[in-house]
Amino acid sequence: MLAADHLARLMHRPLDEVNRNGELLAEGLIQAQNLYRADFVIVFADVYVEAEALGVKLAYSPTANPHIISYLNPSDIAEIDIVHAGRVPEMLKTARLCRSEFGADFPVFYSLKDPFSLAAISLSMERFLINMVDGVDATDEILRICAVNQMKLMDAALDLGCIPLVGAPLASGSLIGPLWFERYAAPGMMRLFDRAEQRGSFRCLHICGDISVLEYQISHLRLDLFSFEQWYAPLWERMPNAISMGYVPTDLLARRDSNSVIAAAWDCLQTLPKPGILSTACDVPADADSHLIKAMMSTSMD
Amino acid sequence: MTSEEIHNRLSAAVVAMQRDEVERLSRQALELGFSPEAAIEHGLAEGMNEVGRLFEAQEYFVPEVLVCARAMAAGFDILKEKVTAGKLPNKGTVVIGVVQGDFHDIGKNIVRLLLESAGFKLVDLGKNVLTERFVEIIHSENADIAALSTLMTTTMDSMLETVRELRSTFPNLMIMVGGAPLSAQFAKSIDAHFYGENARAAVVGAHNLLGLPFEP
Repeated sequence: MLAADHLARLMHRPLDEVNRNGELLAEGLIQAQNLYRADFVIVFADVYVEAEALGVKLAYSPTANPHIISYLNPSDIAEIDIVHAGRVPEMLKTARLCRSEFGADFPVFYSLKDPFSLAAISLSMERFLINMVDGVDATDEILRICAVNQMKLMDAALDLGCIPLVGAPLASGSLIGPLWFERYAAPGMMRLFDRAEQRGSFRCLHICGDISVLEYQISHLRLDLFSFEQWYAPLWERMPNAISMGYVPTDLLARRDSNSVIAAAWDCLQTLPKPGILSTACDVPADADSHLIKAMMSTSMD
Repeated sequence: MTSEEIHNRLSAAVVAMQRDEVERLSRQALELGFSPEAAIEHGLAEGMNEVGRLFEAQEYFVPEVLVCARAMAAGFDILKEKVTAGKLPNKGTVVIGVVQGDFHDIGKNIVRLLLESAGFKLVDLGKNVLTERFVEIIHSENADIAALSTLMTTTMDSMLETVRELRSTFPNLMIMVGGAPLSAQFAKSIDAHFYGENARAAVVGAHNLLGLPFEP
């Protein structure tokens, strides 16, 4: 799972150019694909793309990922033409260029946030969660609006022939647990998955953190592909038809230890239900050694 | 009402996320002439200790912890006006921050809340903290523990660099690390003294690092 930061490093380009320029991002993905030979690519720059489109202000740096300098207020969250807002057009351009480069038969995934994570990122996590517990009515409305915007984005990605991969960095079991997930996160995800399915695509989710506490909730999302960070065997008894994707710990790639990477990849390959997809558990660290990634990839070939 | 009853009710109100009730009981404790230090230590902090236990047991998650902490803070704001200097326990000074390049601080904030309520003095440097800043403040505060956090794999190297600098500059400083992409293995590899896999573990770890008893 490659983000703009690793691609920028591969290309020796400033990160603030790569994550704002769809052509450069595509160039990075193509270069990475030539290097790592994955079975598909994922169009992804950083976690803030859609939040920025909603109005969140970011600061960019040539050497570090963007960060938020001003959050939105709940009343700022509005239905927008997200396809033409912020960096989204550049991301869609990346998707279009990848589609064209790799051909129609090669899967190109497009990463977009689940509505809960998008709302939490946009409003600041702490404030959003406190309001949610307080039972502020606005929470439901905020999530509805975020879902509407994300549906538009998903449609645009589907129009380009991409497979939508819903990323849930903050709708995570570790952070919010099963009750809040079921009440506030799952409905928005379901809307996106249902739309993807209606349009002949797949129900694909990447979730961060602990999934053991979300066993019941995740199994009810009727996923086709499930990407995760931590292995939890009982979940697959509940969803035997989902393709699993994971979960080589990214800290191994940061530690520059090829034996550990290969051992972890083997462990994943032996553990993942078949068919499974070997991948890193989360984004590859920016300065991960390419040889370690290639070692992981070659383990799967072996 | 006895002081013990007030303490128990304060603790229960924190756990139940009842900010208004915490405020009311805090005022009542002062009106009845009870020790504000004891109300903080045996009421509010005890409540947050229980919240930490519930968090570890996965009965509470981050949203509940945040709202409990808000209730505790509301009570603390009332009681602290009457606190006599030096009467609150200080188990040690912890300098806490998110390493350079990372702006995610929710985990760090929860660790800070639980450590504070456990009786440590916390100096919070916030997020995206330069190594030089850690060094400066650890020195000026004569800190016992540095607590470093990162949520992103991309900034794990920052953590490594900060730990390396702190180890060489402060031989007696205890260093604890935490954050989603980390592991005990990683902590060991960068020579940190302790890896806290969650906020409650960080509280236990802080006691252990300083050789203090921890009563769950």
